[in-house]
Amino acid sequence: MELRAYIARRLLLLIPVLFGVTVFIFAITMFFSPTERATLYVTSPQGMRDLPSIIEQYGLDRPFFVQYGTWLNQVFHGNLGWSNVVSMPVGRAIFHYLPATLELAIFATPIIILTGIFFGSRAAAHKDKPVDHATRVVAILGWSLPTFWLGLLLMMIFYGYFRGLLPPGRLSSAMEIMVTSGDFIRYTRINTLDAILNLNGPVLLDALRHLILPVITISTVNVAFIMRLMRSSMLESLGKGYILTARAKGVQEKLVISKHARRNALIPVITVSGYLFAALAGGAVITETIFSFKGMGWWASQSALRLDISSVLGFALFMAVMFVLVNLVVDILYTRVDPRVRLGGGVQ
Amino acid sequence: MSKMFSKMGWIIVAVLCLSLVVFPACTGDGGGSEPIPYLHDGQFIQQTIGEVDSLDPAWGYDTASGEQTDYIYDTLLSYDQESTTDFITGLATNWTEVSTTAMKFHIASGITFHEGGNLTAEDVEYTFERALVQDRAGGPTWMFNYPLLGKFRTRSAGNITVTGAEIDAAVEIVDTDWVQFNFAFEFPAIQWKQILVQSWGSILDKEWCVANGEWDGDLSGEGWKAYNNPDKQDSYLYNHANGTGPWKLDLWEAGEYIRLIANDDYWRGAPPFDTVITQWVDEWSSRKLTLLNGDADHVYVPRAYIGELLDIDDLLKISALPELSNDCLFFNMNIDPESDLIGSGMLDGEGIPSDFFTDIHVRKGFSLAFDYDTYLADALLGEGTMLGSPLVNGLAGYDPDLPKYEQDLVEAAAELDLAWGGNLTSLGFKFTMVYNSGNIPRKTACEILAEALYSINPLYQVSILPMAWPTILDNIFTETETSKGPLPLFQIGWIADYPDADNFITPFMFSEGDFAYFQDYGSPTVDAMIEAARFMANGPARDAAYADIHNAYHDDPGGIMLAQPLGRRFFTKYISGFYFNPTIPGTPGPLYEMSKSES
Repeated sequence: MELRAYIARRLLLLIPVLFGVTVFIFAITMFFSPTERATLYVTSPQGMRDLPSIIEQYGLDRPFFVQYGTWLNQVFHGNLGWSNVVSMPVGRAIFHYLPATLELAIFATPIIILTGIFFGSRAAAHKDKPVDHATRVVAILGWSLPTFWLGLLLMMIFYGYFRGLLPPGRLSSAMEIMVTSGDFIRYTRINTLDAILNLNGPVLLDALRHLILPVITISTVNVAFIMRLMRSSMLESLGKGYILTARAKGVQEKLVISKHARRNALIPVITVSGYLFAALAGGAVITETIFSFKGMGWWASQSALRLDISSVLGFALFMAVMFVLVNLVVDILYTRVDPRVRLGGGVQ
Repeated sequence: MSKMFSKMGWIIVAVLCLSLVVFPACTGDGGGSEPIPYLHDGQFIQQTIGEVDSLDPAWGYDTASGEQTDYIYDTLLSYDQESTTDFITGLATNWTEVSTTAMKFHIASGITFHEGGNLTAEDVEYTFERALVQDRAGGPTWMFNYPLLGKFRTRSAGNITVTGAEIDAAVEIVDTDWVQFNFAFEFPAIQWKQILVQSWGSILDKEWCVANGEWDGDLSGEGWKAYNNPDKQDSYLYNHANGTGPWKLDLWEAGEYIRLIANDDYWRGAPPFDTVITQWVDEWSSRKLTLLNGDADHVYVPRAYIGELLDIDDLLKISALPELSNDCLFFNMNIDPESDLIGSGMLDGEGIPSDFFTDIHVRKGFSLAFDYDTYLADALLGEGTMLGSPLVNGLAGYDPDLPKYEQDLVEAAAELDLAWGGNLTSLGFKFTMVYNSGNIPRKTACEILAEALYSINPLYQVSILPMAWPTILDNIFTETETSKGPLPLFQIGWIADYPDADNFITPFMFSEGDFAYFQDYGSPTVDAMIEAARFMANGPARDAAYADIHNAYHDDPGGIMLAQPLGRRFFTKYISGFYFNPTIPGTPGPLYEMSKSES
């Protein structure tokens, strides 16, 4: 009951959050003149002569609250607006681009978290030993590698040097034709999942082949962060009195590490992992662009660059919902990792 | 032992990973030296940038939309290969000039649309009337409006300013299967044909359109006005298509790709490719590797990266293609006095007055100072033609022997010495030029001008500022009650709507033209010259008229004409049949006449 009430409270919190986010973004876009915003609708220099007409048509010169009110009214009627950069309704654009991003996030997040936890805890357990130094070097390297450079390098090697081995995009054109034919049902538009649901091996293998490089690129950068976080959290745990007690009682070192220290060290990692997943679900702009893995990040960046305000607002709404939900899940997870935590009642 | 092995294992794994990265990077060239495999038989796959805006022929005014529309639809007539003045039949089997204000086209019979409907004269009439009815803001329909209705737009201040009867009278069916266009004034037949041949002249199936919620063809009441200037998504045609062309729309995954499949019943014969796929890929390296792997037959190559493909033998490389476009650094004769870009706003060495460029010696001095050769070499990598006026190579009236500016710093200094009553040399000036951020050729042009002016006199100081493209447009196409925009100089290009000299001269030189108006440039004398030349038949008299207009621009420069770029195309060696007609939208060229084979 307590949990339900807590979830309901947190979901109610969404209303002011969404309102605040949209007002804030709308207000920022008002810094751009009506003409700047109207250029979204013009595709050639010749069309510039119609800018005043476009401004009038879309009401771009109306007062802030009138424009915001119009948009809000539209949203209340279930219409998030039109995404001009991709020529489809914003709501459809979210559902169109989210699967690609989710697919990346679903594959990358476990790799990032598990690798980060494993190497972070090993480094902490072997503090100032070669393993710790090696992990630190790898973490620094991973953290400091520019994503675009790593992505391009990997593509040049695995698509250029090893001819066609791991291509960019989400599917090869032959498989793309297959999945868009009537015989293949796109339940989720997450290609790997759809391939499994359709029991289609070639599509599954092709989708996996296309996923490897973007997942490696995203993981390399993010795993370093989790690794460092896990290491420091673990070191803090290892210094606690209950670890000393456990060791004094003769508990095996392996058990001390895995059961006592690691479990407690996981709390900050869970928090960050939640945000990491939410951030990845919002899209990895550079990775998606380099590998033509068009997802939320690509769509959002294109929308922002072209001042496609409906799309930017739609994306912001999505992200706000995403973060609130992830926060909720993280809070619930705390109760599982640390029994002392009670939702709504603080720490027992 | 196990600990030891663990350490060794770590080292081995690390070395293997490192060598996997370093070895190919040190020894390879990205695979460019390997032969390109023949893949995707029967398919033409291209990777490019720039998403389709709409598949509605009356809406699309961008290259990407025009290209796909061209594949799906047919027009009444087509250009004869490379020519932009000779035509061959399309959906019209014949045409004739009824008078200087009317022209009619005989519509072919026995042609079917993809969805099965038969082509009739009613479809043709509907197509053009629908375009006039729709007339979306910022769209291409002004090219129909102007000759047929005598005005550029069907609206003014939000009100519709034409009647249904006017639209009805503009296009009519005569003699059962002829469609006649009635012009509002004497309009040259060749220009009308040049307009009709482009993607906005694509013929629709009336019955199919009406069945899918489009305008019903009725111009008698007020109902048609609801279809004027709609939102893009209000039209069924923005993402659905039913033409008579060689390919049918199969799937458009916005932002990712568009896939067309062959129309095997095409009236000219089955097309050479079963499938045409256009993928939008922003990243150049990805496009390049896709081409070299044979996964694409053609990719868009930005000028800066051309060098990466020149030494690859397995490619079909076509060069020196004169694109019908140009770029210009425009002088603003009436700068907004509140502009932050003109320093003090006075001729005191700390800025420039808002009418700085009204002095012809300043404009001539700037035009003589600019280093055109360096621009050509650095910005266009040598692939361009220097211009003396807005007219470009490929248009009637263009003459490469007409005068054009070349860099002459001595003469430039002499002109600037004469400027502003001889005070400019001692006072100097300061102002800021802008370019759209990320556009390296435009940045280069700014730098070249700034450096040249500084080399003439260190008191001539020009700063350079990158700016977002929408912000630049906002600052160009604006005016106050007493002045134009805040940019002292602005740089923008022009692409042909249709290949006629007037389509280039009017925007640049006519006082109400797209650019000239926002420069406060132009004169009644030149306006009269432009109007006289506009509707002349091509020939020596028109050439002479445009030579005079060219000379007028040279004598009273409205901007520093930069260059007409020369294009390149890169295909895999398996593609053949390409020829260049600058009006064909997109880079693949005349796809229906091209083919792909391993031999």
